[in-house]
Amino acid sequence: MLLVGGWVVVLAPGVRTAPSPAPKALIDQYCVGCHNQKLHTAGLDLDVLSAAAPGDHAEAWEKVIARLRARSMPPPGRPRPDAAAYRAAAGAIEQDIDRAWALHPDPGRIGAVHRLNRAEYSNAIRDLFGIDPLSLDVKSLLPGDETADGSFDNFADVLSISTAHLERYLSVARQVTRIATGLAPAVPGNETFEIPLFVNQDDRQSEDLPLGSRGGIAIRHNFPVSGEYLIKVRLQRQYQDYLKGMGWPQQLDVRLDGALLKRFTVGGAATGRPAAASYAGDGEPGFAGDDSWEKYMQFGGDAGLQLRVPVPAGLHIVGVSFVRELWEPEGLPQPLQRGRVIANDQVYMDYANVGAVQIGGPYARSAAGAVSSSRRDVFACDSPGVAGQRACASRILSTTARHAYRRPVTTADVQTLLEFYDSGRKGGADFRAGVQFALERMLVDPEFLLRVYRDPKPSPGASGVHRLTDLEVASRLSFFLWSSIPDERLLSLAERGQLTNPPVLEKEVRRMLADPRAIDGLVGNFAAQWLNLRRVEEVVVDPERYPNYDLSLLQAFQRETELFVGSTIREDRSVAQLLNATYTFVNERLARHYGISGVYGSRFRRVELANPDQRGGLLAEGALLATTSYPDRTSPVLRGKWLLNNIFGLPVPPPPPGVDTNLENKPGASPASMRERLARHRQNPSCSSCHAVIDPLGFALENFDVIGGWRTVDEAGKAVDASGATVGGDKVDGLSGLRALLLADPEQFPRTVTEKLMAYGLGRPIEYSDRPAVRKIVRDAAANNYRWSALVVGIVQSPAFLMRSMPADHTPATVARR
Amino acid sequence: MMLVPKHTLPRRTILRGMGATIGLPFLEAMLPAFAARGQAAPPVHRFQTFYVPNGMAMEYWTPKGEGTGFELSPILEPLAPYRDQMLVLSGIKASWNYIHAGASGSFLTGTPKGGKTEIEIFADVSMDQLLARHFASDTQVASLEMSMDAPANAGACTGNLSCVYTHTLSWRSATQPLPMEWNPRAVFERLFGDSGSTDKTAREARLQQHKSILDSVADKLASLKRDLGPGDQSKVNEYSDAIRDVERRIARAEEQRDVELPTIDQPQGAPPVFEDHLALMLDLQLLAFQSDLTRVISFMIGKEQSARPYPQIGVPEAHHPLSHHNDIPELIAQMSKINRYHTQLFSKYLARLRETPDGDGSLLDHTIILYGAGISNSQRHSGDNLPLMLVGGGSGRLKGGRHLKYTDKPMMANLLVTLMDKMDVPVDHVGGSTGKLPIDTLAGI
Repeated sequence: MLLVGGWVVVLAPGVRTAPSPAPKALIDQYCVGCHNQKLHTAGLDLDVLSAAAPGDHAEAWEKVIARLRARSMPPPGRPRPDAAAYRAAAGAIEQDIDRAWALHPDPGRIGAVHRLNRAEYSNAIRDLFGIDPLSLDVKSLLPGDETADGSFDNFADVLSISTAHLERYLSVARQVTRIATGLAPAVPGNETFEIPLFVNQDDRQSEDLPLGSRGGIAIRHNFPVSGEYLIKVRLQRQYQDYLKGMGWPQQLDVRLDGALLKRFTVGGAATGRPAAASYAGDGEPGFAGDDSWEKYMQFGGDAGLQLRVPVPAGLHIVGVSFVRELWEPEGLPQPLQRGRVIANDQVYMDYANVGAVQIGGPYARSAAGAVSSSRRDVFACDSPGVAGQRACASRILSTTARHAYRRPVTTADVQTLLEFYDSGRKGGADFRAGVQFALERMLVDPEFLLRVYRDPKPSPGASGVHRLTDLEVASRLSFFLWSSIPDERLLSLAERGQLTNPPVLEKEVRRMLADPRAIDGLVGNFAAQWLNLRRVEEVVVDPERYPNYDLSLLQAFQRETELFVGSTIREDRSVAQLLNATYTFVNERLARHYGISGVYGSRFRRVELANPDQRGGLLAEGALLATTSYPDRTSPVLRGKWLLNNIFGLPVPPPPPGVDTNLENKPGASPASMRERLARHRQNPSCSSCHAVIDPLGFALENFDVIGGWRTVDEAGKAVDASGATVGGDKVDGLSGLRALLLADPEQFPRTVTEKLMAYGLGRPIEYSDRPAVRKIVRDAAANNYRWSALVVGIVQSPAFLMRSMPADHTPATVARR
Repeated sequence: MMLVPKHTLPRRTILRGMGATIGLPFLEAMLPAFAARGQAAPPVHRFQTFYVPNGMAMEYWTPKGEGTGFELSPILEPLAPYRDQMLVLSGIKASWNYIHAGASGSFLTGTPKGGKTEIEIFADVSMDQLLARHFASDTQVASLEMSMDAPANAGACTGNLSCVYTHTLSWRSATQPLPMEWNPRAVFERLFGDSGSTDKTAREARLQQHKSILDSVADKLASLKRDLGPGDQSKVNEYSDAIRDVERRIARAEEQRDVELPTIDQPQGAPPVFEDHLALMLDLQLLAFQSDLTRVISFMIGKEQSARPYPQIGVPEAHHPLSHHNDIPELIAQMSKINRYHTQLFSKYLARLRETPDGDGSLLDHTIILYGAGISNSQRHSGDNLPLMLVGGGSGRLKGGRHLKYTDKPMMANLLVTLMDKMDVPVDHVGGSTGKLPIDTLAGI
């Protein structure tokens, strides 16, 4: 046994340091012909490397492994080994590297200063003060977080601290702490909640709106103090600023927590002659409608849609919706107008829609000025005198600081905060004002905003790695699984030095995975980025080719994948189920789109899928299919590339510079099918080396159109051909073929998931030196069928999570110089 | 406990040394103080765009005569008191002439063309943003973009192109249009933060609070830095740099505290009546200039393709449909009432700019305002001979009181380059510009 910096390493007996013979023979036969010292192709000299210890050249060997696993080398046209030989060679090299790694695990070095990103900041506020993120959108108040290309927004080295950040932190700290301590805002607040134009308002919009309602919006709003508030509704207008749907009366309800406050009648009251049906008229005098008509259509229709109501302090739901009245259009059918301008006559008799809701106030404070119950507990102080109150403040601030700074509090901490408490009480301000100012100071403190990893003092003879402290691990764990600060239990275990005891650590991981915050964090932040869910709402679709598309459909895609991934985590299923599950989540709109019958209503519910060749798993979900297409056509290349990067775990480089990637049909020529257009990929050898790998995977999904609908005829009117063969010679036919290919090697997909999850959990990119850890985690998870919990526990117990490399210049001399 | 930050110099240090100014280095942080005192320092330039939509009744706009001896037209007549600080420009062509999208889309960007479909959103960096980048080091707010119309539309608005083109003049980059703020409350918050009022005590209290927080945090950072190795300190340095930057702005804000500002409370939202809303927006613009919070403002009195009716002046027809008057004289005359109403409102704003002292003159003396439309004949969406004028003293760089007629059809982008040059921010092009415009002298005028 070797004691290395406190981390016990067991020397495996009988370890070989020379490479296994099997790969060497294969490499000599198939690879060394190009990759040798003389030709130096792609900088890889496999003749030299073959004879060396694999552990010394792990970086190069990992590249070789990747090519062997993808079977993308040798390039098409050259003699290639058979599938079994590829697998054996890759496996043998992996074994050698893994053994060498086990002797000296390299945990990598996370950046020393790791800023909280927006999501983490928002959740930390929620956990510190009980402020529901739906009621105060803290994320929208902070600048966006940078991501290195294709990675996650919680990478330490990429998150910067700019002046804009600091200014926003100062401003947000004030807002948040005022709400938390129940101080009345300096001025009456006024927030506007807009509904995007392309959200479909023909149906019930949310679970917070009543059955039998149509359109509108439910707003979870935090009312800071009891008082009188103004709720104002603005309806949607078409591009000529005429209100939509004014041709007939409709009923608009305003509700507070479900109770009806007022029912308005809108529409149906235009008087006088209307304007010409087309927008510009013919220029003759009188083309405009009568004054009274114009006024009603531009202003009158939604004038006076407001009310003042007394509202008690706290979180409430303001619901604005129409009473649902179904109708069918008569006369000649009109094409649905989505992207193009909507003419006057086409919306006059249509549904009116809510454009925006404004909530302002308090305009008149209630006598009580009551603080909502969640805050009463934390910030109350019963002592009357000044000294007693200061003692209260000391207690409150030190409790909160311990969670905000994620460590035991020192006297210096409390001292600083109390100075701000005193400053906040100057001029006779009350107890809460003092506490508020101290909390404001707390939220801008570097120990709140940053996670800092400190190197221990160097000692002679120490190894190049060190263990993270229990407190550092607690933070890392809670930000990984919950995107938030550690809770009481985690913090106390860490303070007592018990957290990194392996059975305790595993128990905590399982407890945290079972907590709803894990679903929020892992789905809302990890899966949302890995699976492109944050880009779904930005998808642009050609409305003429796809008149069925609107924002409600895109939102449904996002929700489906969120619920689906969440269900696999909650039920601790195998990650392979992400690909081969036979169920998904739909509402009526989505069910119709997918061709699933018998689903009614806007609520999402689980459905079993009848036909695994057409639906089932991530690869057939609209979110993925829509974000890997162009607005007017599918792209096998985009899809193939995305699959390789994110599902197969075999990323490909971008095309070489100067390549013309334009595939537009030549004008006058008959439209070519996608395969014909991509023919150049196969003909040109410098293209085919990558595209032989990419294209067949994308073609397998060609039955799914731009918005994920099933089709048998493509945009050019040609029959869809979703069959193909991968470069390795495997047949791939459609969705089922793709699935089968991915699951043929049971370790392949779990490895990809582990890599992504590990990068997210560590807060840094995965390096070649992490691959052995990934392989070990997946091997160990086989016994548990590659469940989520097995992968997460494996990641948390790996050296990369619990240890850190020292910097190269970390000697007593350099440290003393600081 | 209040630490005096070592990185901002109190003004007293400078003033005391004025008598013997040897040895004191000229620090950039002191520049605003100098500018306000009108010392021998580079002139302060301000630029404002005042945009009117849906073209112009050109028959009522174009002045008769050229050079200094021109006659004010009916639409320009309300601006008579400002004649000697007014340059009317005729004959300039729109950089991109495409229905309504090109009008506003190229007005400040000078782009020769934009996108081709509803989903292609593409122009160029606009001139106000190029100026803003430069002036941002001197002002707390780089620029303000404001409009009387909310950007309520998505999708296609004009000629199958995105509504974005008609709702804004300002573009941060070729693909990044900037939203124009229509809510006076949001503008107020941008300028004055969350103190709730322009009242001096409220603002100052807030500044002091920020300072004390930042001082305390800076101490914490210093000790944090000591715990880290040299290779790890860069992020902490970013944090310290950010603190210094914010403290610098606070110092600048403190220097401006002595400027008497009218007390305005934070507006609640947009008033329903057009004139009230406009008054509030113009109050805020004046305030922004007066307190030197910004030196670049872009303002649209209506989005391009605005359908606002003006019943209060006897024009109940919606503006945009009316602008398609089919060349019928009665309808053109009707539309010209809207155009004249706009210049009347503009004139009242100019009066306030002229009344506000600034350095050795008035705000108007040290401002260039570009007033006009991106379309001339609205019936045909014509981009030729745009209705444009420059108002203000331009800190001595503009020679007013003239009507300049360009016969070689220069593109508007060239005017933009020329203006940037006049404001001491020379660039080699704006959008698709081909050179500068002769503006100081023109063929003997």
